Amino acid sequence: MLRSIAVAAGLLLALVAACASLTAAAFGRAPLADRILVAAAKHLQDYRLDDATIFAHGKELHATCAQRPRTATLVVGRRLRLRERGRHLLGRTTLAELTDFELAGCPGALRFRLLRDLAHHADLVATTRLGGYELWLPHAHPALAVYFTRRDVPYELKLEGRTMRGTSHVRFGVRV
Amino acid sequence: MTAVALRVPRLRIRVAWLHVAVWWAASRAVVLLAFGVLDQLGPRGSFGPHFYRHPLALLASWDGVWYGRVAQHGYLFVPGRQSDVAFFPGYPLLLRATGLPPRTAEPLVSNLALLIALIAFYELSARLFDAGIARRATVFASIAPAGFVYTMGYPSSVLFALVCLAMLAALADAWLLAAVFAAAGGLTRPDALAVMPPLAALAWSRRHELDPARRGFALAAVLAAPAAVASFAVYLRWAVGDAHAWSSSEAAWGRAFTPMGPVLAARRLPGFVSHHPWLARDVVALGVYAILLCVARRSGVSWPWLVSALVVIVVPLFSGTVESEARFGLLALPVYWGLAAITRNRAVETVLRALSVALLVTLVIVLPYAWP
Repeated sequence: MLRSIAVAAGLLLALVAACASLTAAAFGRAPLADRILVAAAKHLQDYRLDDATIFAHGKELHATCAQRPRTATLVVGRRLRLRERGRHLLGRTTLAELTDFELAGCPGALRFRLLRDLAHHADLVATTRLGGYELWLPHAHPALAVYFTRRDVPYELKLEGRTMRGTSHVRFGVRV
Repeated sequence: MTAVALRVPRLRIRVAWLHVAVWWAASRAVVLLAFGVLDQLGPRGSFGPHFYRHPLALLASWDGVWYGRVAQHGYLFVPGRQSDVAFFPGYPLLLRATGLPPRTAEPLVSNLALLIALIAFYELSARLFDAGIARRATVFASIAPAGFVYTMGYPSSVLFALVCLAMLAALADAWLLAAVFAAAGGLTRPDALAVMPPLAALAWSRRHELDPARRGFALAAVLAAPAAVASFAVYLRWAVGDAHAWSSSEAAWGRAFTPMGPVLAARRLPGFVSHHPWLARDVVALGVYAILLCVARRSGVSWPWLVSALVVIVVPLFSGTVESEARFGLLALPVYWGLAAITRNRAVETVLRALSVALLVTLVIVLPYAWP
């Protein structure tokens, strides 16, 4: 009886190893950039608040973004600046406000943006840096660089568009 | 490892196989002709233009697009969205092995696999019942109304072949080979778990005839399909960083497995059918499968096979939808044995064959309104 179970266990382990190895050999692993994005998207899903220090249009601003399932509210200074609902910004927005919103790193909006590029098989460039990774999304509009910690949490955003430029330091807090 | 355990059942080409091959060729010709008509005359509005870009484009549509993507680019998981980790690697492995572009490889692999599947199914049915049942059941399997997917970029025919080959190997006491076929099935689709009940029943019935090592092989054969399914989770953990990526991705298709799934499916049914009336096809198929399983039971099909059919038909209902039940039920082999049992009369057989072919053609023609 024990011998039968040992033989079965051995054969099953060999089958699992063979199947997983065959699949791995044929299809490999998703690129580093894709894996970072997937991990970051999972982290971002867990947060509903972030603070950002934004450096744009020659100013330094402090912004807070409150994220709900379908809405995001951006407060800059102590003033309500922008509200997003269903991935659309409400009301008329200036280029400067749009830049602030992109740099504020609202968890839902940032997650949507990162996954949209991933879903479109965009060319993503990941570079390992001291303390984390830099992910460059050259075909995003505007072009975006995101800096991640080793635990795949974004901590810095950099917009490199023609009209929308700036950087921000983001800190995520209050888990869902 | 004993020589007996490794032995491969000897294959002899039989006259009956030629009969099976003729039905395979004829049924596939009918399906291809129907696809040709659809390609020429199909509605352009509700059907995207990409379906008509290439004569084979329709055959490699829907799931075929995803399998093709996996074969070409490997896996990519996009959380919260439909992504290719929802598709098991067995079929894309075969596509890649051909070295051909997916839209060419998919019909080629699927159709050839169907020929192997039908021959294996004939042999299996002949061993379990008699040559008459085997002949009639195999003909009905070749012209099954939802069997148009056997010609498309779907792994149904590959899985059909692997399940039958696993059972044939087990019946020949080649348990190691049975384990390999069952594992290949598990790597192709999770429905391969359907092979477990008949394999378990056979292994149990032969337990006194097997030495300890072969009993181990038999036990491994019974568990090989779930082991292969688990191997995909191991791969996904390594490749995309999430062992549950498959189930997460299925949720993006509106399939989330829950104990209340059948109740949810029943509740959603009116809305589902009112939005897509042609998808009533799956509800009708569910009813027909249920009736034929009752017939199969009355005709002496054993319980392990009926449980196997229930695994194939009922488990998808736990995902909260009846969608694609017609296709999933193709692997419920007792359905064909039930049909074979009620067509002992030649006239009944002819009528049901004609009806089946007519439905097969109809389901191809209405594909723009009811995806597989």
